[in-house]
Amino acid sequence: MQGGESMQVAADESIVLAIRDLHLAFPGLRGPVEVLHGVSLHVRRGEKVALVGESGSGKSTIARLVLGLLQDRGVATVTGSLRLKSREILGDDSYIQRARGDRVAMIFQDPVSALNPAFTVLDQFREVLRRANPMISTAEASRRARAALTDVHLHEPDRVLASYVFQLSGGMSQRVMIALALVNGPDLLVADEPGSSLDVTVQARTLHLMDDLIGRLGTSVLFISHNLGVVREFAGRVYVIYRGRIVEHATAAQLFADARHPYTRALLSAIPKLDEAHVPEAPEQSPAFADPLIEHEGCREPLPVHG
Amino acid sequence: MSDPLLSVENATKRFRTAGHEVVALADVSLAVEPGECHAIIGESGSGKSTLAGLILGLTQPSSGSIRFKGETLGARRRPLRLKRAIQLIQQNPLSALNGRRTVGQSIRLGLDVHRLGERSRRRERVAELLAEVGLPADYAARTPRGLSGGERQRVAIARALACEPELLVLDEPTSALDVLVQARVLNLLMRTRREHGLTYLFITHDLAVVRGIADRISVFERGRLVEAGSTDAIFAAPRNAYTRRLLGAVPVVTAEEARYRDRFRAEVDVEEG
Amino acid sequence: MKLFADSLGWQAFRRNPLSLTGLLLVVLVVAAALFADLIAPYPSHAGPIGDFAAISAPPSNQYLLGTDTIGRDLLTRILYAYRLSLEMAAVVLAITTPVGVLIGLAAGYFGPITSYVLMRVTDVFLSIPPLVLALSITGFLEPSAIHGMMAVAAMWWPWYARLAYNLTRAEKQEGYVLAAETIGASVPHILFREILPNCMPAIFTKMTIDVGFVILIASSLSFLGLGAQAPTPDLGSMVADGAKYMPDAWWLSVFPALAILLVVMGFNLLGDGLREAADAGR
Repeated sequence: MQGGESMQVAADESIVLAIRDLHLAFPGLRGPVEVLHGVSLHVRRGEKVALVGESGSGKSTIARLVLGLLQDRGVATVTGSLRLKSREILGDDSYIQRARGDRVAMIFQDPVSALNPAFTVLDQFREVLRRANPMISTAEASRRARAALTDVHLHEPDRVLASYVFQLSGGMSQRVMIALALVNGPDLLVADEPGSSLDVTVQARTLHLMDDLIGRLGTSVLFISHNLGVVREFAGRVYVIYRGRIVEHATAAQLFADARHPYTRALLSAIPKLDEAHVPEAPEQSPAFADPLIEHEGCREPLPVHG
Repeated sequence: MSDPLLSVENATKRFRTAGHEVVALADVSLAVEPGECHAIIGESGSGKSTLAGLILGLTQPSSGSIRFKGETLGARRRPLRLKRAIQLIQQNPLSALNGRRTVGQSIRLGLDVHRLGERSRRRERVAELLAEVGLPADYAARTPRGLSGGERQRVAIARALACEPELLVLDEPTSALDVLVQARVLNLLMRTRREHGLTYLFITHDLAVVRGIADRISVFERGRLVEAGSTDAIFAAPRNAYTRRLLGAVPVVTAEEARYRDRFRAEVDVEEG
Repeated sequence: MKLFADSLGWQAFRRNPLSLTGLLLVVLVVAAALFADLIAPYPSHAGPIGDFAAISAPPSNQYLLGTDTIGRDLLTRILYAYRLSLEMAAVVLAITTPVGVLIGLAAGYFGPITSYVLMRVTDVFLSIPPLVLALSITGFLEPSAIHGMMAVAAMWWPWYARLAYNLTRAEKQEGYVLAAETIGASVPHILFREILPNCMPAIFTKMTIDVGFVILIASSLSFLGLGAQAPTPDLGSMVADGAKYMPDAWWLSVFPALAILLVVMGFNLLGDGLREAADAGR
């Protein structure tokens, strides 16, 4: 039993995010509306995991839960377990309040609305850096901010630092957002539809550099997206979510070569293909979409921690 | 060879903003043949929205002209019959329908404005149009609230069809829709074009969509037309560097697509700023 | 009441104790005004003759809120004064809302020149201190309830013009306006059947809150002697008449003043509640 326990502990240490049997309901007109029906997923250190679904699937809700943004308002009823590096977040706001911006960070779909228009970029860096180190000096903060902007390949970092968000282009603000999120070297980055508001060429550049930077820092990523093409490009492992349930779990290679769940297959067949000179068939809405979870080889949820 | 339905001749559009001048379109010429699906490819700042605005009569070109069936679309107040012939499907389904009017009222507007059919028959006509876009007849009494994005776009299509137009300008009509819904709406649009002999000017940034629906393509970069030709020709051998960069940046889902796209991959660089 | 067509809005309204208080107060005031003939204890005291045996009598079982200097029951006069106040508010709003909204719609929709001219005219009226404008108008004309109403109306419409202008400019950005224009709908159709219905919730909310403020301004005018004249019962005049007897015959001014407070607060709370309900319903 000794060996088994220590193996489990070792396995747990490499898990940065572990969600188990998450149920979430919002108050509605005629009683609570369940939005998540027992979602389980995990992200290990250094992994890039994608959560793919259409609108209304619950994927953005999960992203906000991980950042502790929903619990704050006390609106939703949540049960289950959500652990960040073995610390339970549900039911205990204190850790996530401190960890946000420092140990776990988020980047959003639209950089311009996510960043504060009233402050310069440098001010925002100072604020984020203070979350990790409240005593940080102005000089040190400026130095680190400049370094962060150089990491995201922004020329003239001093000019950008002095600017307000609305003075920057879409691609530049996206890079600023990425730099802000990664400057404290968080354990986990949650990326909600990153770059989807950008032009295709700008998005491609931005995602490549984000990938590069994440690789160097060893950050784990939970990637929320509706765009399977982007997921294929950047994710190592994929969860497909449909109406609040995970329906398929596979590595990216497995999913795109051999999607098995009816919903995933429908999604893939519905996407227009660059090499097909006709409109894709529109798959019919089918009850098979709600078929139970299909896990590919090697893709299982880790066992829960005991005691 | 028939005359083009729509021809843009050396159109230029300049705007003044905050003291300096912006050239949104520079000396653009293109022709749209009757019955074809002509795609306008461009990212933000390409001038595609400005072009749509000129064609719809929202603004006038600073120089050059736009002609529809040989007639110059010049005058400030476009005659009603010309307005009727050119209709629009917008990108944002949420804003495109008036929340304070029922679906039936919105669809019926074109019938009333252009006095199409007997007034007593117009309610039935609305039901016919709803059926044509795959929505139940009882939707006519509903307001847009509670309708999904896909359903709203269908209503918008029915509304445009009510006018019995000849040219449909579609400005990113499926970009805001989910994958499955997008496929259904694209199918509906292609079927509608076939059945009514419509001509489409399809504005989008999505090259995969273009591959599937367009007969001919015009590629715009920063207000200029940089490449034009048949879809097959351009995808087989794109010549312009910007077109190639666009192709190289497309996120794809199959290995076959990846093989095609990776030919242009090297051209995506990392610098910004 | 299209505002409550969605029950989400109604639920939000119901849950807010302040909105409900507002609703209650408004219902009370309106009921008082409508049924004054039935519930007033001394209906004849609404006229020029009171009970000479009970001049300036403090509140008692016989005269619940006391009597004035001619022996007229204050409660009765307040009830009838509510009727006058609500009538005035209704007339003023019935004039100013259409005029103001029409100007605002036009300024918001049409080109830069029309917009500029209309809004500058509006600004001029807005820049004149309201009471000064009202005073000048009633200065020319004889003081009366009607002239008081005209004065208030003259200074009130610009607020609706400005509100309608801002709303119209926002709605003009929406896709449905572009759609109607592309289809070829006429300008009156676009202004009145497409844009205006989307402005109504905000306009209606403002009207509700305004009832209280119109009454307040009208009372200020009649406090200065420029509104309804004796013997018509009017809240502002009653406060003015009783002012010289403060603090001995305190009820002469205090109760009419409280009556003003009640009606202003009631419509304010109701209006705020409606605005929140409209936001919740969206």
